Amino acid sequence: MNKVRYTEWIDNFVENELNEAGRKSFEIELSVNKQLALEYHLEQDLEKILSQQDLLDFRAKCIVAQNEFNLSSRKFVKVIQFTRKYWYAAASLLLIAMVAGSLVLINPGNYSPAKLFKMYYKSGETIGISRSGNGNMVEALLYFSKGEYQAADGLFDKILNYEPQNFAVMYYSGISNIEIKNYPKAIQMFESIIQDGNNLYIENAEWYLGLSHLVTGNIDQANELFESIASSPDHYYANDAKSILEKIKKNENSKKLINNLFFLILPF
Amino acid sequence: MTFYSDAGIIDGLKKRDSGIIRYIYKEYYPTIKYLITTNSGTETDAEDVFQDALVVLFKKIIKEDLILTSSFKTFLYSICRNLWLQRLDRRVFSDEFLEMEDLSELQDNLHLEQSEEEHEKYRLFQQHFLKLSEDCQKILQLFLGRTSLKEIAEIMGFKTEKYAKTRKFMCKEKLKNSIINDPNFKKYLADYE
Repeated sequence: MNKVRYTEWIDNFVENELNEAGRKSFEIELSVNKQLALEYHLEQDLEKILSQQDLLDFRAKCIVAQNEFNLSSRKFVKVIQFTRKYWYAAASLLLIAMVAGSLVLINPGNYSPAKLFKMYYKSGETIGISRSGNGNMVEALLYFSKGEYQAADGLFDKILNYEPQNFAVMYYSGISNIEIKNYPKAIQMFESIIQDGNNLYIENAEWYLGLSHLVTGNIDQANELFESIASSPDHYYANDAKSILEKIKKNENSKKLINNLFFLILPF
Repeated sequence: MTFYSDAGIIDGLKKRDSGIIRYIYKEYYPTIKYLITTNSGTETDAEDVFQDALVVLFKKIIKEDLILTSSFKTFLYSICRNLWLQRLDRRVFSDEFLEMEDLSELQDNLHLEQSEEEHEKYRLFQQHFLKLSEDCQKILQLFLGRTSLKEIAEIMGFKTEKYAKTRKFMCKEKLKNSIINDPNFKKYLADYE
């Protein structure tokens, strides 16, 4: 289920970037919203802990030393005397592994678009809210956090009627529409965010647009987006894009292999 | 292998010298591992306690000039034993090991500023931070160091300040998610409500 993340809101509160009404709204929400309270107090602790840079460096060195120690103390490898019985067992295992490997290799459903979507769609990765003072927005996000995406999207639409350039709302609307499998609307929302070219949600929109294209079978468009993301090393989803591209390629190769096998078998 | 005197070890710890830290692990960790694994603990417990003990020592060394009244080995052993007893106490174990030792006496002998529970929490948070990408670690540290958005964008090679801010949110988000989803974090949930 999607969870609303409060990072940006907390940041605005801590950095005194909210107006009086915004601060009050935050404080009220903080007293009733367990998730917000958890993230707020966790951030306070993290700030305290992470500001101790010398300690972090020291701990990192301890982890390295521990790993080195563990590696060096595991240098004795148990040697198995291979008798004829073991050779038979090993050969059988190898055969099973080869058959299983071949099945995995030629199974086109191994990385089907739907499966890839499931693997890469991290519904928890929503990012903050920008208009905390807006009553409709708070209500919409409450629906969103409860997983009531249809209701949330209705409210997002209302907000977009009077704030057509609210990219946070567009983004959450896009995610809500992915959740309710209304992909055309999700695609429309993400495309609008990207077309603007200057807002906080572009990288996320690019990634989720790619996933929306993937799940609707527009593999070429998905590929194009993932390639663009993967070619920008600073892009937040660069590694995910590289990884998904590899799997899409593997899937295509499997399909080609099956086609080739089919044509080889056909004459018989 | 090089031999380091106790003073050399303390000096090396103060400088966060990787060689000294490796030396300490090689020389003293096996004893602590034995202490813990023969007293209801696992290897992971031993690793955690040893790491926390070194952090305690490091903090003491950088805060004040540590004067050892016993050998380094004895001192380190005492800290580890104390931390492990605290953890056992929290786990409500009442085995022979606990009866053997007078916990309050040990605690008086070593004025540990943090409880074992706090050490565990700090370790958990720091370890999750260290698992972030180098870029994320750097961005968060720059923000904590109150570096301006403009400078952060320049240092990190980002085109705009807005993008630097977005990355900060994403990195924070990633760190918080990673901590909250760690099963070991569950026991601290009550502290955050």
